[in-house]
Amino acid sequence: MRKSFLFILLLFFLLSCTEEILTDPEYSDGSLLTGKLPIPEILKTRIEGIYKISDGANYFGNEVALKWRGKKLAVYGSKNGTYFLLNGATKDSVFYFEGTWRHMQSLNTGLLRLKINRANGALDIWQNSVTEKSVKLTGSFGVGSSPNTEILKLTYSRPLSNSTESKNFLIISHRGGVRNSDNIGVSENSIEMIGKAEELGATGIEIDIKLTKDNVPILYHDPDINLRLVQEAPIWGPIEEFTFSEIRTFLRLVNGERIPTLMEALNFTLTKTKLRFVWLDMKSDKNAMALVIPIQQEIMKLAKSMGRDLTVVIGLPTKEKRDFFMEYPDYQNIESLNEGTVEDVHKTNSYAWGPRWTMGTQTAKVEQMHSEGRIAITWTLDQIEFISKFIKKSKFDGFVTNYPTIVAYYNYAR
Amino acid sequence: MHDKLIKILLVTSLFFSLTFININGQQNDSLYHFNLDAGVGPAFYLTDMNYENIYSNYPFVFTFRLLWKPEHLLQLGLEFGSLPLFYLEKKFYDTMFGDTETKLSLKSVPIMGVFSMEILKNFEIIGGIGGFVLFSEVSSFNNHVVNTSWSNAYELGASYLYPLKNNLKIGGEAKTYYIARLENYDVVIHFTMRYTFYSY
Repeated sequence: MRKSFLFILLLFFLLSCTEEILTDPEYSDGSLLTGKLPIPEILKTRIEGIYKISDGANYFGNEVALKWRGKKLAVYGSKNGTYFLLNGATKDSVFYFEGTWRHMQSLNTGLLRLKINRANGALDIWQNSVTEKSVKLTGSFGVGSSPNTEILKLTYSRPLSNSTESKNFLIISHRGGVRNSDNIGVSENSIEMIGKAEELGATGIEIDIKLTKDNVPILYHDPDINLRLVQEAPIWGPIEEFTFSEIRTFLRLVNGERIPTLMEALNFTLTKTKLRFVWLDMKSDKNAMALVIPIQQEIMKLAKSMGRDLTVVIGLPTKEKRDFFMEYPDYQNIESLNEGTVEDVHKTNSYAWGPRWTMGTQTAKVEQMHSEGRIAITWTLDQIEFISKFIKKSKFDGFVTNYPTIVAYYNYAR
Repeated sequence: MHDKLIKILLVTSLFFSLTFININGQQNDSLYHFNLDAGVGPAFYLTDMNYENIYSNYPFVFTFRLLWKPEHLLQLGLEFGSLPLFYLEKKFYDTMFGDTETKLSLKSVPIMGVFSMEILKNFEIIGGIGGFVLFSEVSSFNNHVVNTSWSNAYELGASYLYPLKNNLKIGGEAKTYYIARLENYDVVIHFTMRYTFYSY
């Protein structure tokens, strides 16, 4: 009896345990890059490519894709959603890299330092004569905040896929990047997360749209205020019953960010990122079309005037949302993504078709979409074996995923 | 951090009390009883919210417990009560959108399945599992929102009850509720009275 009682009590407390947010570790001995020069832009693309891993494969798999994302060199692998984010510099022809690694499918993370010596192909990069096995990144990594004790060696294998499919493929990050449960230290559906999406491998984002009581479209996923999405707050209840002033005054997302308006999020996407595609998932219980479509149209117009390749689509997940959409004047000329049947896509004259991935590759229907000048995007694809299969065998133009790092690897390694 | 500390202290103290205290497996009383516990006293909602004019300590809250006590030491029953958790009231709340009159509150009614065990003479430990009905009221920016929701909850506490008569005991009680939806604890200290209203 006593043991059972104790067990039940212990169970209460275990059930109430919370998960720690994962933060990037930092080097305690300062940066390896101090006093070195930025890597010239022209050399950056010569470092990109598919690399084989010899030492360190037990952590990161046998192969990774290296791709510059702005100022950072991103490394994407399939094993556990491996990715590295590295800052780079050069001195005396040698290339130095420093940053962190992370397994997206677990809480594993650590520090990482790599370099390309002259004897390991640095001169080939300078002379634009990179060939198979000519470039080797060597260095070490640690687990957690411990010092680097594990050896890592990457050897250049081949260039990134140069195919049209690979270049045009849309890697669409769910909820603006990744979910809160993936613990990357920024909150889903925040401006900050949209700012991270490209580093994570995304070329597009899916964001969730709710309406405040005073009809301001905002980014928020759940029907109610809860601690999965926001910090402890003095207001509780359905999010759509509160005004924008109340939401801005009393709510912060779990990592401290403000809940953005749709206009703020799209403006940021347009002006601060190179993302090419935004899927507006219409999560509002109300008919939000008359409020969301003008914002979408304004951003698309701005993008066009800036010469920016950006498409924003209105997501139509249900019959109710499709009916709302078709009440809007001239709806057939508004970019939308229809999750219904091919017939539904025709009715709304949608720009894109978005079936669930569990329906299969549906090659004939995807080809029909292409022949009609539309694109096809499937969602939400997270399992490695299916990501690999769909990249290799399907004709979809993109995936929505919670693991853009994995999709990026398979896309660049085609 | 204080959440973890509370958990560690409570689990450790329970472990030692249950391991080392010599418990009489049965009591001499062969009757079965129905007890009614009533408690009143202060409550402290352990929140990290840092707003001016927010109050989360209350001098008087009350709970009731109906317990069935067979001839064994373990009693089973149900617990209810009224536990306000916090309120914020300010005539001119200064925000980036201008001043607003603000009244925010969260109240709760616990509905807990409880068990209680006398581990020393007159000294009982209490555990419970159930839920809180949460009543939220928000009034600000000319908007009024009233909402009711449910949260799973867990309870742990201890009481000392001194017998005044055969069917009446008085004493004190300290207990904490973990409210899962709020990821917070409410700590309650009670003056408690136990009345045995039926025996068979």
